[in-house]
Amino acid sequence: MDRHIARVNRTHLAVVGVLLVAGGGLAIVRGRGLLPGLPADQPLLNEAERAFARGHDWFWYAVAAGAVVIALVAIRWLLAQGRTGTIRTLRVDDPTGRTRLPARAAGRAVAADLAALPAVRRSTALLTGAPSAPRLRLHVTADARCDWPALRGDLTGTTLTNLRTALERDHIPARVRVRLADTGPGRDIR
Amino acid sequence: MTAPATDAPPAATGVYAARRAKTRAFRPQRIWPSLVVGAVLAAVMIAIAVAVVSTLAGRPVLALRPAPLVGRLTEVAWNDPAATGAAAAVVAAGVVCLLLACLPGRLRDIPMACDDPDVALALTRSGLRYALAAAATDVDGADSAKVRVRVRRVRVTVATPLRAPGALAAQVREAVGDRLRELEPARAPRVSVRVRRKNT
Repeated sequence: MDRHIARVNRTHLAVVGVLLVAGGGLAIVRGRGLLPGLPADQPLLNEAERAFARGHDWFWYAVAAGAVVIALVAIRWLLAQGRTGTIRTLRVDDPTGRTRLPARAAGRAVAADLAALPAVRRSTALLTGAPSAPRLRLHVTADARCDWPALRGDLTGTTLTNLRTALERDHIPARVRVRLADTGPGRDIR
Repeated sequence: MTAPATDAPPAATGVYAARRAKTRAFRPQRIWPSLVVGAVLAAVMIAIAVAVVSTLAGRPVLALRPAPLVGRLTEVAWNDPAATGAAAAVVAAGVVCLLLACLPGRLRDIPMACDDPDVALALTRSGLRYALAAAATDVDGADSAKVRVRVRRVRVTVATPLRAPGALAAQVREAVGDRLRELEPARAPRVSVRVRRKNT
């Protein structure tokens, strides 16, 4: 899923942001003496608090456990960045039963379809999402002087229709990025 | 967004909503900020866990000894400028994280119109620049073209050897405009053309 990681990142960043703003804000408010019963000229860590930590072993176990949990969440968040979201198999449901296809073969078929178009110079097709609800991620390099309406028609019409037919699905959401590259003869284009 | 995550949800929600949803497919995913914030968070938490556990086990890791930090915390008061400054820095970092989470981010690609509600289509910025530069230099008298592309604005600067460029700017504007109408960005940008005399 293309937008899955974006959502994960936004949520994590928002939570971290809220906690930092709240923590820092509280510290500033406390430093101004605006919290009732908590004078501003006390040290950050007073004797009563140190005595509490010294007297209760569980406090330190709790601190360690909390740190480990947050570290694990952060590591899981980091690992999520490396995932491309591509899937290995596709599930095709037909009246006779269920078939599994390698997703890479479907991607190659799409790329081969595209390679046959005159304006297309290179293309990669990845299937993402879930085996039962695939999405297509397409990256195409085409001639800068190409007939765009024709290319767009071929991309969205023929190519995607072929894939939909092959996978027996009415809808396959697709994200298509096209890079137009200069192939003009002898022109100075920057 | 409460709807299921799709790169290009059906157009049933309205033309503008559909266009926004398609555009969203090309927004940045905030990978770099997440790597930085995630790494810092993980490092700090691992350091705390190691320091506490090793001290509990009776063999404190020397580099993470808490004594100097604890000493400092007992000396500095809440209204000390150092404490206020540190707190302000924490708030600033939090605001940066919130902005990264909330702002949509700059589009890397320029969304193109596409009738198929299942397809989110875009041209790379450099691709659109090439295509428009090619259109501009196809005009006689325009030797080279430099194009700057933004979602709502396209600036073309052409260089010409002609002493009297005359209608060149208008011709280039028309050529670029024709190509843009053909490419059909989801949002039509304004085109401005500048002509520069080439020193030969």
